[in-house]
Amino acid sequence: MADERLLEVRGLKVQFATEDGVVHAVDGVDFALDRGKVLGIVGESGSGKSVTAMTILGLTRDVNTRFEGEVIYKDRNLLDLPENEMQQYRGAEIGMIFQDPMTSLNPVYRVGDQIVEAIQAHEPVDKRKARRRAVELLRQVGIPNPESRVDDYPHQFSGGMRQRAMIAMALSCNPDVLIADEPTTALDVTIQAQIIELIDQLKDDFNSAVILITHDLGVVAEIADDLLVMYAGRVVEHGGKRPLFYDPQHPYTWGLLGSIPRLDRPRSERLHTIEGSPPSLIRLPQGCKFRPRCPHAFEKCLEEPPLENRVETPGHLDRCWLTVEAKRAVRDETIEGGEPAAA
Amino acid sequence: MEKAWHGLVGDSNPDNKLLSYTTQQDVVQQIKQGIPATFSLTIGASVIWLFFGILVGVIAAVTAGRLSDRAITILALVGISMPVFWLGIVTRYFLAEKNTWFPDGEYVGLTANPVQWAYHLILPWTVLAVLYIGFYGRVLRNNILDTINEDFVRTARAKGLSRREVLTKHVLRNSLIPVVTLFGLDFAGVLGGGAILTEKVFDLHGVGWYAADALDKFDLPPIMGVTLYGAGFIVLLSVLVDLFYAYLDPRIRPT
Repeated sequence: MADERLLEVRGLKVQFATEDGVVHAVDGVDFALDRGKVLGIVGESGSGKSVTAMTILGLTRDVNTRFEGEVIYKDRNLLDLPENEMQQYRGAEIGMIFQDPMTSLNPVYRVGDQIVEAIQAHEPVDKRKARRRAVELLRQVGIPNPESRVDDYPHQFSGGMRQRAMIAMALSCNPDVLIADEPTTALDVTIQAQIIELIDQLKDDFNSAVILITHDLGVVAEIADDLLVMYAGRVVEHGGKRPLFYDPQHPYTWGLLGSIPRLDRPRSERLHTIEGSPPSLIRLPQGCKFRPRCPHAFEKCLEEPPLENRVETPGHLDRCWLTVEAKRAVRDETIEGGEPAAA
Repeated sequence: MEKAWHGLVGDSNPDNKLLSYTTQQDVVQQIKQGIPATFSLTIGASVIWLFFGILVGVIAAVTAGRLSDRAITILALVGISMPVFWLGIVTRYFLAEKNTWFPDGEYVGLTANPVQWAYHLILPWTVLAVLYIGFYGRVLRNNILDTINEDFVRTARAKGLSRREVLTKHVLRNSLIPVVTLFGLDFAGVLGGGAILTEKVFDLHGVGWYAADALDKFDLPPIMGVTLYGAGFIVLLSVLVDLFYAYLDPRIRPT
């Protein structure tokens, strides 16, 4: 089957007007998603990855929000759709799983009823049929005894089970795109792997595509096909998983790779970190946004580098002025860390 | 003790009843006589204040930051700040005495004449409700604005529910829970004779009026009686509120 393009985001910019000034939450994001693929979006808090995801679903719409660019889903620009039409896309065409399963389910309704509500929002089925489907969905996401657990309230579920229920709800109308916004951040490590595997398997069962948002490269390493590294609302590196892991081009990606705890290396005194903190999205630094924290910054970095292909691998884009040779020379040292560059 | 009591009240009170010092009437009997007026006042006013309180709160929250929200906030503040006796006297003067659009005080039994009953109670209902409408409206507005930022509301929107469905099914249901507590206690308070000022101003001979009358005369037994009677309602309604809470919020049900 030829790759079927489901979703394409072009030049997306999202700005929030606040009392302190305009927040450039997303400042130029492009990517495409084909059926059956998993796109990983990686970045720190405040890098714009969640805003990107919520904007695709139109959840950031507000009087104080401005959008630019396009979000093309099956030939329609979702940014232009009026609210009542957008509703028909939410849940039915694009499902979303949120970060904290503890608070993402309504505490006063039964889990099953919340899934039934999602089904009935889009399909004219009676309550009994919808309920039977809810039981079936809970079984598919691995909830034991779904016939009785369907009548439980969220507080009677464990964190992992709630996230499974959230996944069941997101998949209840068989969406073509599933957006998972840090689905494992609030869960135990052992449950994390299960949830990621579950998402991967359900993607095949439901023949959909997945956008997996995380700040943990280890999480996406398993199932992503493509990776998008975001920093300060911009894409700083974009490419296939293998090239990005084995030939990372942007110093920020190196920093992320370096900060994964690894068992196959001798344990250093402290886990390597990226020095400093992300810039304010109201007053962004001049030039490359990562410049103030980058150990390899030089004069040219005062001008912002474009996102383009600089390596041999086609489709591997990055936003860094360093030559490929220079990068390869200093890269391993930066990833391995040891002494922080600033010291 | 028993002897001392008998010595005090003498043979005039062989049944050990609580008697008023000034009128020698049975306090329990007098409270019972006040109950129809007090209950009519309370139930009618609470329906008004609950309905308008919720309406005002929802409108203010939905239009938060805009003109209607600001206007409601100011009106709510005015409503809360106006003393009941002042508002009562002013409305009575302008609407019942200067212009005789409404009857000037007094209570007509519901069974005697339902239309006159309601007609006589409209002013006291409204005056009593004004304070609570402002108060409930403000509380509900803030509850809604808190709830609207909850993660589960975002989930509900991501499911594809309309704004209206999200608001009524998910936001309102959760933000009304604290209002139930308020309502239970306020309702009990007024039912227990707490609307002393309203009853006095509008000459409604209810339990509150009886208490006010006794206070004027430093008549202790009726005050004791009304206090006990009111306390009973507070306890009763507190229990009911707790039970209703469990119905509203499954997390606090015993497992």
